[in-house]
Amino acid sequence: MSKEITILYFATARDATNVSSEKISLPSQSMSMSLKDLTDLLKKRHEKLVPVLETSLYAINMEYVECDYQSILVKEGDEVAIIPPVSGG
Amino acid sequence: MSNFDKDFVKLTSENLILQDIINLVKDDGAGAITTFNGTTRNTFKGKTVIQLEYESYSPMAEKVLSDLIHEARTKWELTKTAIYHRTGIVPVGETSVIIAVSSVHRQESLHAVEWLINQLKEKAPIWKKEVYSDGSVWKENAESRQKV
Repeated sequence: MSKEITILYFATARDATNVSSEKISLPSQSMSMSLKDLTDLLKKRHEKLVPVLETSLYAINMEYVECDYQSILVKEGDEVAIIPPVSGG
Repeated sequence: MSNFDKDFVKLTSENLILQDIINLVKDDGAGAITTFNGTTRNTFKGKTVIQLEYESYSPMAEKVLSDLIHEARTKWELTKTAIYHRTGIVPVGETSVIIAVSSVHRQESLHAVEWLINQLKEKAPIWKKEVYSDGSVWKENAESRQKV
C-alpha cells in the first residue's frame, strides 16, 4: 500500500479545489517529501490553487510552519492544512 | 499544564449567550470579569450583508486558542478564562465570538481580553464568508498572520 499524507483545504483553498480534503501518495520508495515538492505537486494538481498558495500558510499536524519549505519534510500520516488569511472574530 | 476547570475553549454551531459564558468564569475570589462580545455587522462598504458563514479547522483552532490562554496566563494573573467561537451560519446581529476572563483585580482581565481577541484574529484558523444579495466573499483580517 502506498504511503499517504492528508491535505486539508479551507475557505478560498476549498473553493479552488472543490474538495475539503484529499490523500496524496508519497513518491514510491520515499519516506517523506519536502514541503516545496508538495507545493509544486499541489499546484500541478489544482491550477486554481496557485494564487491561493501565494498568500496561504501551511500547518502540519496543527502547527503553523515557517517558510523554509525546502527543508521542511512531510511524512507518512501527516496532516497538512492550507491556511488562507484568517478572518475569525 | 492544562486547567480543565479554569479554562474553557469551544467552537460551536450553537447560539452564544453572554450570561452562560460569564457563568463559566465566575469565581468568588475574582473581583472582576471582563468580556468581549463580537457581533456580525450588517454592511460592508455599503453592501448589505445577508448572513455570515464561519468555517474553522476546529481541532487546530481549539489548540491555538488554548495555547493563547496558556500564554496569557504567563503575562497576567487570571482566575478563569473562556473563549467561545461560533461556526456555520450566523445571522446578522448575532454573536460570533465571546471572550470572558475573571481576575482578582480588573487590570489583569482587561488587558488579557484585549490581547486574546487580537491574537485570535491573527492566529486562529477560522474564516468568515460574507454573503450579499449578489454574491459572497471570504474576508481577511487586517491582523491575519501573513506569509513572509
